[in-house]
Amino acid sequence: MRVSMLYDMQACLRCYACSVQCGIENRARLSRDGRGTPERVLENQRPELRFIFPVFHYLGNYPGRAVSYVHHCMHCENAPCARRCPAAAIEVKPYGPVVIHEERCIGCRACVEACPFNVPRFAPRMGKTYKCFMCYDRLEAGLPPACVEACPARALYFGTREEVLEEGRRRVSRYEKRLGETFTLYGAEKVSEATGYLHWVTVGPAAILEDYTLRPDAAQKPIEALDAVRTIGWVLFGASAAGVIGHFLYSLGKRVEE
Amino acid sequence: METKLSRRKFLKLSGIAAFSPFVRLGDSLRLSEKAPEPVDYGVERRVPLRCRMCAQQCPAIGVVKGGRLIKMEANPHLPYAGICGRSRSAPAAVYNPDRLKYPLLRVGKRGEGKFKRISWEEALDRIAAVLKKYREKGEPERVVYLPRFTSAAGLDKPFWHLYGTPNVLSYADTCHSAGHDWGLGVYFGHPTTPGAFWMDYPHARFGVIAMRNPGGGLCVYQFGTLFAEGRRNGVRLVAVDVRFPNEAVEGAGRKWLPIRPGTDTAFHLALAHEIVKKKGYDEEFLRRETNACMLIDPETLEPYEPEITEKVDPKTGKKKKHVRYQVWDEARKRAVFKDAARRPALRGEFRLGGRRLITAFEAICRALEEYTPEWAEKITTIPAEEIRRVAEELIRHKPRTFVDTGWYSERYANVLRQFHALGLVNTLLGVWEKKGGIGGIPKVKLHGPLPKVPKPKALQITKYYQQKFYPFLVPKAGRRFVFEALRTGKPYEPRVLFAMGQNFIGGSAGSPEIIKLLDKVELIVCMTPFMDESCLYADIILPDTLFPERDEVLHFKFKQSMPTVAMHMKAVEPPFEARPGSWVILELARRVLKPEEFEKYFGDFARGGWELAWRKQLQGLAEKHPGLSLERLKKEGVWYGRQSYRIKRKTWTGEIEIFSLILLDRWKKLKAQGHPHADHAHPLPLWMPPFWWQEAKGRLREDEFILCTGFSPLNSFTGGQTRDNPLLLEIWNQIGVDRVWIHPEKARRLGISDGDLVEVFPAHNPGLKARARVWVTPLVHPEVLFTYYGVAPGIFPQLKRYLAFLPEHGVNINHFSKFHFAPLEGGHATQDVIIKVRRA
Repeated sequence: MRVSMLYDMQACLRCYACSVQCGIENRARLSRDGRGTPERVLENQRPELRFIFPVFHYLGNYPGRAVSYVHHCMHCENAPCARRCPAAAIEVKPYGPVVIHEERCIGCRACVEACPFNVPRFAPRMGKTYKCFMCYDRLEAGLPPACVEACPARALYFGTREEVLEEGRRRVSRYEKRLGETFTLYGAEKVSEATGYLHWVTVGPAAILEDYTLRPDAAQKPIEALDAVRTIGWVLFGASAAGVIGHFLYSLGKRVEE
Repeated sequence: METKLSRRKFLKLSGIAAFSPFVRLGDSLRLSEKAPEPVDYGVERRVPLRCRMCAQQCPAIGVVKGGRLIKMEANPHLPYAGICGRSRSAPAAVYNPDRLKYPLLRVGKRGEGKFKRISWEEALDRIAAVLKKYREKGEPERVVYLPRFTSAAGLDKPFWHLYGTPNVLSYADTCHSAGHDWGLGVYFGHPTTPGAFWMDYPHARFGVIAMRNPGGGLCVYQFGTLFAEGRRNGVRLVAVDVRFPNEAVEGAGRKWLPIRPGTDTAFHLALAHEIVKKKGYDEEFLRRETNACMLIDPETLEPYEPEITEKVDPKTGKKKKHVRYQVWDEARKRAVFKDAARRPALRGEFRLGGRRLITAFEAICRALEEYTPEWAEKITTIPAEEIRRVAEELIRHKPRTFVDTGWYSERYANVLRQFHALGLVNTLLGVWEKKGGIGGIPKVKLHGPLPKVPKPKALQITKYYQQKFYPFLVPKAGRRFVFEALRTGKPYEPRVLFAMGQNFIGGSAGSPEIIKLLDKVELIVCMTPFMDESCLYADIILPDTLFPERDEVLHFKFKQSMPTVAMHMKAVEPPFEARPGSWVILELARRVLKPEEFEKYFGDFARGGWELAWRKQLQGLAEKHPGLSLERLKKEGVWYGRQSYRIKRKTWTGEIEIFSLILLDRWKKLKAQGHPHADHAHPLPLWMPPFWWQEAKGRLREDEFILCTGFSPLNSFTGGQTRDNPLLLEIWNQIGVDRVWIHPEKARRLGISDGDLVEVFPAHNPGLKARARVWVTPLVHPEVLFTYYGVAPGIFPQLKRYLAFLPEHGVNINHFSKFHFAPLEGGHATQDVIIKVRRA
């Protein structure tokens, strides 16, 4: 069974309750892990500990159009960050979430480079990189992710992959019917070779989706090319090794023949 | 072997390594680590309480672990449950090191901000001595109590009434009173607060958002979850605002119409004009539910030969006027009383015994004739065709549509007219009490926690001003008249100010003038959990608890579509010497009241505590409201009843008065008195400009702006629980909450670039300066400087000494505004001044 998240851009109130709750939950985790008293952890500015956070800018001339949303990890099926991590600090859970383990992170930022959605945040003070791990401690205890619990607009939704896709499609068709515009369920299908499908899908108007960083075929092309070259390297190495061994066996056979 | 690896060589090598199949990255990793235990394990208690990060008291649950509040959750037992981000940041407010810890006594001059720690004994004795003095002198009314976020609800008002002062005054004159309350209230015959109406967002098809941004000024249980459901159901929205309200109208099927500040009246009048012109009004509704058919004299506007009776309500003993009026019966071609008419005429002019008569609706239609969309375009800058389009949508979708009745009205001098015009649009469309339209809010009334206290005899300061100059002032909501009394000496000068959570300086227009008037006050007490502008001028500061640190009275005044009662129980211990207001009031009562008075009113509470008070509040209510019991409230935290659409009517005709007889009556009296602002009470639709418009003759100069504010969903007012909150500050920094928005073209002409630090000051007093960062953005009207409300130190940079998480820069419009009052209704019209900007 796989789980998934849904972000409904059309329903989101931009109240950022999700971001506050993420900050609260992660601070409570710090005190759970003996890394500060419950009071002290609340005083420190640790923006990297809010794995879902607001982005706010604009487009166009007056009267302009606001572009605001919550930015978060997409939990890609193929997790380019995990593929690039040299320290084996990023784990892809069998049920979907892409989890970064802080204690193993060496702060090399390979994941930052690899991410097509600009998600992992490197915190210089800690020398480590942070990103959403879909509250996997809560999930495995049967609780929804903190941000989903916090959303007063039900713009965030959590469930099994099937439930989430069904809810997403239901919302898409309702919006399309009422508003007469095309909507997309971004991430339901494969976005690119690099990402595969996403475990965090987004409902939004198709016409403006790209303004919200939700590009078709999202991938860090140069990084992926690097990976492709490496794969080719393996293939070439394999082929030449096979050739060498084949030739050796062949020559061995020949020698026996002789 | 010693080889030094040069940087160049390293890069070369690593470049090769990156392409090399022999350097393994983590792509074939299998970890599957066991997840740690969630923080929810080991939670001791989930305590039902009501959030007080803003003033709206959304029912919530405080999660307590290890004796600490670790998080807040929405109360799950409500159909429209929810809390916002401010509420969720409550733990960061509770454990904020900036909290006031001990009672403080002023040692420097007022405003200097020098205090010393004193004991509670000393603080209470000092306050009690002054209170006793004024009571013994027979002048208890000279003491003024200013509650907000009060931690003594249910006890404080009875105490002060018993003490003898009627001056318990709220801050609503700096919010919705009385432009909103009377502007809409005249249709229903009584002042209607924002707690009177709910928009049926879930069932609406189209809505105009004009005087409230339900996403920015988010109150979740009150209307936030309803609004969110409407948006999920695909309601189309148009926002008329000075800035792009991204919280409300970003996305498909939504639109922003930028409007010139203070000109909303013209927009609403043009909508009404179009609705009448297109005959888009609900005829049936106007005939049946309103007094649109009332026959009036076209010159005097007086109703034609009405039957006026006065009845005494046996319950309250108050006199109530009843008006039976005549209409033109089209069936019989003559004037008859409406209840006898077969087919009352809605429009038309009739001759009766040599007199010309018209229907009230005819008079309204004639008055609207000049307010064309083209006329409105010149005033509002909204294109005429956009106004027409909005009117068409409203007509097409009625009654499943509305113009949002709004909330914070007291921004300009003409808001009484504005809300009157807004009410007219909704009345024409017939959306009141309709599914998908606007409903009335039902309430269950609880008993008080104390025995009923006699009302004090002295004249309330605000009542004096209501009788003299401001007939639409709501007396309990007029705190700025305390300072007007200090200025004029009428009806008397207050001598003691006890502010329970009110920031009467930072939150009132004309802060600097108010400060000057304080010299005449003998004692100023501020009780609050955090320092604010008012505390700087206090003689004694009392450290209040934050809401999770105290028990409280049961609350029933929710602005939800269903009657709700909610519990509030203490979740954690207060820090240091912080004490709840209920304890302070009890201690003052002990010291100030006569022993027999104390025993009679406070004795039971002093012995039985909140448990007893709660039981008293609910006495006998379970029969009428099944399930409303203390046991349930303690367990689940809430009780709610059935959703309702009915709006309470107290008009003289008993109908929704599209032609208000109260306005007619007041207008005539004011005219007779020669009141300069009499026309603000005109019973027919009428455009009145704001103060700034009159001052600037409708045209602002290049460097002149109107400074407008809007609520951020992550800030509420000038209270430290949100504006000095480490967690919220972190997010504010990401969205630039403290910035001042400025239009790109205006910025270019003033030589201001994005991110610049500017000096902002009022044109009428250039010496008052505050610094702010600018955001150059096309999301704001060219004549407007926009900033979120109440986030910044403004002209009081010394506040940073006490509030470490307050943004360094930013402006507060109240500091810049004038100590003026909106005509007839007394609101603080805080944005209605001209503001200038220059590079710092």
